[in-house]
Amino acid sequence: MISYIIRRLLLIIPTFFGTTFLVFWILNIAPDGPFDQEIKKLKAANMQSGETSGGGMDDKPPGEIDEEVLKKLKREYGLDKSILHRYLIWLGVAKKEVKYVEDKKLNEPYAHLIENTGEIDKASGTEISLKQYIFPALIDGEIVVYESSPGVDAELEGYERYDQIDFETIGFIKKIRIFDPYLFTIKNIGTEKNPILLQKYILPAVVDKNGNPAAEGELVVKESIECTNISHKNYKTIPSSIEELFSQDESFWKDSKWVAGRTKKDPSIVNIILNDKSELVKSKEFNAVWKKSTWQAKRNSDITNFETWLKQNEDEYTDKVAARKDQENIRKNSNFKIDSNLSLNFKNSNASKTFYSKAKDLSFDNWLKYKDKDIYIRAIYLNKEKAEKDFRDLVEISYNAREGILTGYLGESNQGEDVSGLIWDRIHISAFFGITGFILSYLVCIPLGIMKALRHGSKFDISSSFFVFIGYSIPNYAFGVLVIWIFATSNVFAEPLLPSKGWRPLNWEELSIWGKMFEQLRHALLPTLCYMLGSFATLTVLMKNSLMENMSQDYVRTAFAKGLTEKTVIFKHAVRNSLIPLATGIGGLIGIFLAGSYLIEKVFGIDGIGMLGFKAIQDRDFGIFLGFLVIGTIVRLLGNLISDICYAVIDPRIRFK
Amino acid sequence: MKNSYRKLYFLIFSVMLISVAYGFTFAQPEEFKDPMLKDSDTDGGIGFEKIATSLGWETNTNIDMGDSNAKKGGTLTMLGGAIFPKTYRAIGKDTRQQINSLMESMQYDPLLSYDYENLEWEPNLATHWKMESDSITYRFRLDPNARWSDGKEVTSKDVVAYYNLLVDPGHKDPNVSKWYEEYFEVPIAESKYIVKIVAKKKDWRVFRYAAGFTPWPSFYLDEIDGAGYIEKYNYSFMPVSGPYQFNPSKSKKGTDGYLVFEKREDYWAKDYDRVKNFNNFDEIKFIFIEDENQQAVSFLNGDYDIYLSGRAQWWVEKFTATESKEIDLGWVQKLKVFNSLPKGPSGIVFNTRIEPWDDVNVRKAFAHLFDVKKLNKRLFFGEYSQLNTFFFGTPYANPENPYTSFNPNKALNLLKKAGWTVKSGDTRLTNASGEPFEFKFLISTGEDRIYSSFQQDLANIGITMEFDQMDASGAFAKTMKKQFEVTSQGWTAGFFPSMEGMMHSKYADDIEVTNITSMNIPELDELIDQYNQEWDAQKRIPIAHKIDEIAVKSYHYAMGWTSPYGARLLFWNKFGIPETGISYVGDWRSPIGMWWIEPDKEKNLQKAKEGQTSLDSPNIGYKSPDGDWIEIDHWNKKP
Repeated sequence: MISYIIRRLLLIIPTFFGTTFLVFWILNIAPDGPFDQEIKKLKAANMQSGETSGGGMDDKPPGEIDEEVLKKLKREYGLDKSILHRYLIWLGVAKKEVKYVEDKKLNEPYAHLIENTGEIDKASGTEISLKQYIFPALIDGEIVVYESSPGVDAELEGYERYDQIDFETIGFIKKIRIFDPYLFTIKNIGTEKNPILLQKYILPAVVDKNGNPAAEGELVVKESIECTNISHKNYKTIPSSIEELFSQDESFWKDSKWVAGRTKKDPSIVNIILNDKSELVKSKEFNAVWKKSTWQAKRNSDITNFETWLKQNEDEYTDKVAARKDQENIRKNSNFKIDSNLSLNFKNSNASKTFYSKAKDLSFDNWLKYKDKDIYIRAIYLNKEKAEKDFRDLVEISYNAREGILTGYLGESNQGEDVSGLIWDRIHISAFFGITGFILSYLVCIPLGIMKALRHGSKFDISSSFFVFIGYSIPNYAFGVLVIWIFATSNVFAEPLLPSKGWRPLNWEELSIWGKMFEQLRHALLPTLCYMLGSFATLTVLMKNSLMENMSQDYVRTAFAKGLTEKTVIFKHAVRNSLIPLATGIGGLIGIFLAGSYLIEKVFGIDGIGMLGFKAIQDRDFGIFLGFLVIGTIVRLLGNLISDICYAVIDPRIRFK
Repeated sequence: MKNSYRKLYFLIFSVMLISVAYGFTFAQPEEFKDPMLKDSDTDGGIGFEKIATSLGWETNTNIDMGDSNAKKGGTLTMLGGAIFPKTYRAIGKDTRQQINSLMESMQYDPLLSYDYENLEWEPNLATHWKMESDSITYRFRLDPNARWSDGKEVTSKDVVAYYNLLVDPGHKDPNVSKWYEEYFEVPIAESKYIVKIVAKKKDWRVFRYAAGFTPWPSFYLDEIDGAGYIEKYNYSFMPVSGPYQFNPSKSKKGTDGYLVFEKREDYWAKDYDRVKNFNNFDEIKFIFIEDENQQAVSFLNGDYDIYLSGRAQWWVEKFTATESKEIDLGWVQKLKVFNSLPKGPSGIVFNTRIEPWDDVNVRKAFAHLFDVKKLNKRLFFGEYSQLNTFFFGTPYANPENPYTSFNPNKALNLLKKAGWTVKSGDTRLTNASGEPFEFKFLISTGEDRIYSSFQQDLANIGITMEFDQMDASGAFAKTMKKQFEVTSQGWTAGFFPSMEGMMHSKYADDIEVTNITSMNIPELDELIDQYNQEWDAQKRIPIAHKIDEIAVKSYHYAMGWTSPYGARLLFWNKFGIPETGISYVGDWRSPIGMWWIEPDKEKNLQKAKEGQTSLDSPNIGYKSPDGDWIEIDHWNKKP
């Protein structure tokens, strides 16, 4: 027997892989999958305009989808890989790559949203989100991604705060005002008793084109030469006052390894960051906050075309004030136009002259790109060098891990919800109907079957068969509509007796415990009836026939001959033996928890397992669908095995070889 | 470079000195004065009303909304849709459900409203507006009384901040961000109350889009960007400017959830004449029911107040006195309202790039063979009406357009003109070279139910039509690629037709455009250009009529049918209803603002339910000659 069980268990493995791969393959080749749906949505959205939605008379022609967008989308859906590769990713054998964010700056931690907690922060009225910091750091020329532990961004019971990390204590971010010198201690070169601190000044400054300090210009970081805090033979003594500091000559200052970035809230305050972090990552303070992440970062320049990126981020690198002035000038003197042959026609006016002189500086490629004159003007004021510099420092962050069915991860729905969570949230509904239906039908069908067998051919037998078969022939959802019509509307009774829809009443939270029980029963009554309807006939007839067969067996005759009472013969011997075929159904019991019928749930407006599964098919939500497939396959395979075992346990005649 | 850091030293010192002298504020030249500090009468502040006209501003005081009999109070429960919204947001992923825009419009006032009946703008958040002669510079003056629900003033900063959010790609709704970016420059707060919006396109539609801005409070928007918005406002709202406000504690999230909106006691415009008789309900509750049958059962059980009847069959056969006690006893009333709600064109369309569909005689013949009246009678219970225009419902539809009637003889004559005849000894229609008239009709799965009688009518005169059936999205994709001979297609429409996409020859040779029939009529092009240049909504009417006539008579569409009413509803007999029923271009959502609970009726309904007695019909409209419902046709729009 044990070897049989082991053999069966082993057989589950190829069956499981076979089934899942087949379904996976079919889902992936079938048209109108999630990818096509997304494309359709994009196209439909392209067709939308301000006043009405949808296509047609009030709309612009539907837009083509950009090549780049399409490529990105394909990558997002993993369609750049083969089906087998995708299957292996789904299993968790191959590494999956989920792209989360792009255009993040190297060496700058950013807050990554894990999920919305659904709670609302009373102070700000906004929703509290679960977040963590992700930190793509450039260390010795390689990008390493660090992450902080997750937390929330407001006070919430049961959660830590993520946003109270003091970056200054870990030494690599410091918020200071521009032109405000910051004294940085490098190390102690003396002894502990007589410390001599090696120090330098870090100074974020704005300089003009000639490198002179200015109110407007480029933001740079200067640092002083290394000094000591007390006089030392090898080092200069650090200036102790601002006056002294700024009267140093030029050789005192050099370009710094620190970099500066303006903060959003107050542009006169900058974040200065040590650009060389190889030292930093070894420190204890750093490691207390950060751990190496499974996230990965790739430079944008490896992935995206600079020109494409620039087009999207043009605004940031354009001197808008100057551009606007020219635009306005040109509007006023709109004697020129750029015609479709891309030549500039202009009459004598100053604005167009300036315009033309600037236009000459543009390469022909750019000329082509910026047909529209407004965009064209912006292109002239585009600081491409800076953009290129920034672009080199941008990374795209992706999640790269083995995570799949074999690691116990059922995947995500199209909406990004966790599939196991979705199933878990609904399992109690199915379990309720499954278990109640199961118990009730056995409770009713076994006695009924016995009665029918004992009174075979009687009026009772015939009339009960009539009703049982009528029940069998009505589809359970149609029966649902019928009972709703009778009990949940005022068609038959003056007032609806039972609620027509829902798993629980809307005011569930306000009810007392008795109220809850009562309302739950009222809501569950009709759906349970529907669930039982189908199994009623099978079970009853199975019980009846099985008992009748047993009653005609020799051992029953023997039992009667021995002088046992009828009751003893029937209930102790015949009925027990007749239960064997019914017991085979026990294996299916573990399937009860997933036994939601979509049709019944739809008719009664219950959001259970059946509804979830059906909607997954409807929305082409392969994540949910495959999650179901996995659970369903395992449950069924195990259920069969349990049934077989039950069979052997109950009926000693059956042996497994 | 020499001495540069001495200069720096000097600079810092001077900055410090100035800082001390001015208490850390920098003196600014007059032109940089904070616009939020400008609130004199010429800057749009109090007193502006008196001088506005002389400064060239426009306004409209002749506004009449709602019914003077309206009474305040009570709760209106409506079906918000089949499924509970995945988010309450107005921008971003999953925001295309009707309920999302409804929530937005109940809570946030637009700059201006539009009176479609008189084709005039009306003040809302903005009291005055002004368009410069360049037709691309618009100015709006905000109402100094306007307040957010947190008590702060609505200012021009809010409009700017709202625009900045819309164009921020961080909210991941690229169509929204691109769209606003394409149409507008960043708005400029000129003073506390005056905002300047410059359009990038010279088009009368753009002013409409600008006037439709529903600003959000800048105090909140300044804290977030696009990404922050989709992170922080999935199930909550910023302070609102409109008449209703979401109440999260009365609402419930999730599949069996519901949404409750309460009327704001502190709504800044609540005593304004224009809304005096409007927004009558204290509370609006939206529930969600997925199953169609459940929606009906639930309505008749009294779970919600107004039922939108989408199915013609149910309207005629299910919701009747014999089928439902509630209707029989008059507790529930049936109502159909005719108004100017625009309906798009639909029908059988021909790919005129392919023979023989390039011949207008053939197309016209098919229009005469397409028996819409029969379909309406047999399949749609007479609930629809035949189309004779591209702009149904609106004043832009040409009332003189003829209806093309079913007439096989006329069709045969037309086909003969095109060279198709039935030769003796043949039952098929053939051309000069003896080829039979055969073609494929691209339809979505299930549509054969509708078009099989058309197929029969064609067969009767010797034309073989085969169905090319595909799922709806596949069929639409094929249509957009112009890979069809003949197909059926319907479009949505706005009140102001924008026919360029569908009719202008510049799209005739493109694919993925709404000009699927490849319309290429020089006369139309000219008229469309003229129409697009005309800023006066009134003056556009005759141009549109001409366009409509030419387009219809070109028979690129063998016109189909449409539902000719603004709303077809069932409602519990407890409401007070204005004599127009719903608004001029309103639909099932109109009752939210226009209806009210009539206390006497509500009491009577209660009594009738208790005693199982019957109720009288409300005194509105007239009894339909076709059935057991009330019809309101205030504007004589019934076809």
